[in-house]
Amino acid sequence: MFMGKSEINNSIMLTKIKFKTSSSYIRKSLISLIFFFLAVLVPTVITTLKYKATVDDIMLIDFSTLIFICIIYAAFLVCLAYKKANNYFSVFPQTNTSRFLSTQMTMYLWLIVFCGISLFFYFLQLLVFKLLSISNKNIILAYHLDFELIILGIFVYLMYAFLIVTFISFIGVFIRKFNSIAIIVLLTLATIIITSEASIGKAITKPFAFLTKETSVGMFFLKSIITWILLFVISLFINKFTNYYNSQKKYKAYIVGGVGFIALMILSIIRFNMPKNDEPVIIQEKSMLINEDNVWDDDLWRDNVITIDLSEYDNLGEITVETNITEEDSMSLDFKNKISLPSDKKLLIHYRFPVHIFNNYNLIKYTNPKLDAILENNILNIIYDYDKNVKVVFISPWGIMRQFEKYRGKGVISDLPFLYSSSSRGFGYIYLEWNSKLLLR
Amino acid sequence: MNECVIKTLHLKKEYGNKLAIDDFNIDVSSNNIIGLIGKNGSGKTTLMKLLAGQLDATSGEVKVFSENPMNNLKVLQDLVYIYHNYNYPKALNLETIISYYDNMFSSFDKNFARKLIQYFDLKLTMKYHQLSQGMASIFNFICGLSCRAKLTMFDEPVLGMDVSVRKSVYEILLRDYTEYPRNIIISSHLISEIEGVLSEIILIDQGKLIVHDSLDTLRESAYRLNGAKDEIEQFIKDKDVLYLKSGDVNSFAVVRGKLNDRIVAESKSKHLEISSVRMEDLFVYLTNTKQGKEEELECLWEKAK
Repeated sequence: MFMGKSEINNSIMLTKIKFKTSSSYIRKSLISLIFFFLAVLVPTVITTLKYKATVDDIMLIDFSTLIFICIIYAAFLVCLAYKKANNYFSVFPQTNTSRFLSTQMTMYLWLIVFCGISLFFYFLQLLVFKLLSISNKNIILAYHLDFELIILGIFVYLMYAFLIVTFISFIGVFIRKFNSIAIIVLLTLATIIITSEASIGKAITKPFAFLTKETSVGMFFLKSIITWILLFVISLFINKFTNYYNSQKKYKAYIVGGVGFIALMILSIIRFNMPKNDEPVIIQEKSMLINEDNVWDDDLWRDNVITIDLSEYDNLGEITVETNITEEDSMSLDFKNKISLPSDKKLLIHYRFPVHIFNNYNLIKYTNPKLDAILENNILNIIYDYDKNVKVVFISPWGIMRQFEKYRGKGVISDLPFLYSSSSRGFGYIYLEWNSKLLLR
Repeated sequence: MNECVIKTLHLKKEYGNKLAIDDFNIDVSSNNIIGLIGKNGSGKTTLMKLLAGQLDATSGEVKVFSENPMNNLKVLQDLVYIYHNYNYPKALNLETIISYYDNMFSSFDKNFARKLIQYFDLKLTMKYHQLSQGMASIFNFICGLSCRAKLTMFDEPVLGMDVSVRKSVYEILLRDYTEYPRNIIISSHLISEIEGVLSEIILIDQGKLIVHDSLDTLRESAYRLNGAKDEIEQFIKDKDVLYLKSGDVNSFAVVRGKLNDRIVAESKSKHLEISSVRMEDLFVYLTNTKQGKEEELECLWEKAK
């Protein structure tokens, strides 16, 4: 049998003591995160409460992504210091398998804890800004709360983290077992992926492409669990036959690793300085993510026309245009006397509201913009009205969930893995289709 | 029949080009307190690590409780190897470490450990890395002894301890052994202090087994002769001499062998004074380096020609 009952019990006991020992690191990480959270939150709240005439976007930190990056870093450290960390507990009875298994289990427990911490920070941020939005109508939360997304996100997040940690451990086990041979194999693979044509690199990375490409949650779980089990079992198997207490110095491995790493760096630099054939694909992928089509569908984007019928007037003379539009409103106003048939007798005001896109959202819609035109006593009043000092707050629970179609573009999560912002000024254009003259005041 | 506790067969361990253990054969099969004696760098720690399954042998065989200890929980659960300079994670306090031992060793006596901690004026709330060398050694000794493992190995357990504490440690060790007989191996290069608690000795030098015997047998294994140079030289002609110092005023020899009436009578007839050899000296003679080192020592003050 691969593992006996006593070995399983031993692994559980070792996990307990390793987790307890590492709890101080978790405590320290949590304290650092709280400080970071406060350092970010306080200025964000101040910005949110600060008056600004136009609409503003407030992007809150996605702690799940931040913590995920920290997890990868911690997994690397644990992998590098595997022997040192385990030597702390070498006085206790253990085997190769229980030692490895307990290290893995400890890391998985960390991941669960950090997943909880990530969720805690999300809810904390949400609570703060929800309270602000209740007390101030101009503070608006862009995404609505979706409990299904939150709960499913926990599992997806953990699956991702388990996979990454297991993959890093697998590399560690591979290197510990095969030393310089493992380093040569890994460096060769990395060199092929980086320096070869896209097709070869894609062929190597294809089995793992689902991690970022799979759009169905069910399929993602299925593929992830299979990959995770495979990686875990292979790691466990290789580790079982690795001599942990090998006292021989691995100079050869260090030399091969060092030389290989330098070679890889040089090749990478050369490769990235060369033009790539597949670059348009990347651009296309990015442009697909920035889905402005949704925003274009919005009425706010369209040209609007206000028509004032002048048929009851015999002669208008000069029309003075008065407006409240200022530079601050991101709108401009202009006019033109149009030579047309006297029978038209119309005053047309074409206008388009300004645009402020942030992550596929046109923030202008949150300001309820209105443009009115009233002609009275030869005075044309153009009144542009909108809610001032509007703050649109973006906070999503699990950044990684954006890869699933089910949640993309549903107003529950940021669609983009990066920040995208664009804006354009609005305009108003007055056409007078009669024998009068406009005067802009 | 006694259970085989330790058995090594042509055991060899190399660190690169350095031979740490060389063709080491040993068989321990009874509940004893054994002293593993040897100079610094003689291979004591390497041997203990090999027995504890914490080091891979270059060649040969290691058996503890009739099985290979490496990666063998069945063996390792009944074995504890305590290193004087053990490195625990910095954040841990003594209480936590004790609880870890309690979790990992089924035979660990937590109450006994707590009592010993109190006896030695340590505090459970103390952080391990804040302890002095002596205090750390005491704590490690407490943990090792409280494990009550069938095979308990202490590697230089009294390092840094003051004389009174060392005395207490040996007393406690002996008392606990009497209450719970088991195999205890203590490595040291100071035989005089632990002589009182040991029943067996394993003497190791340059990775080789020099002697493995009971203390009583070893005590009777050699004698010392003092007297005139010629008489001594005449006396030792047909004997196994471990050491000989010839001087104009005083000469002495250490001879391997058991004293008997015939030898005593013969020595008296030659006006030689016969006495037992101190255990510590005997080991020096057995490792056969004193003579060479004395000559080297003399050379240190020789004027350059």
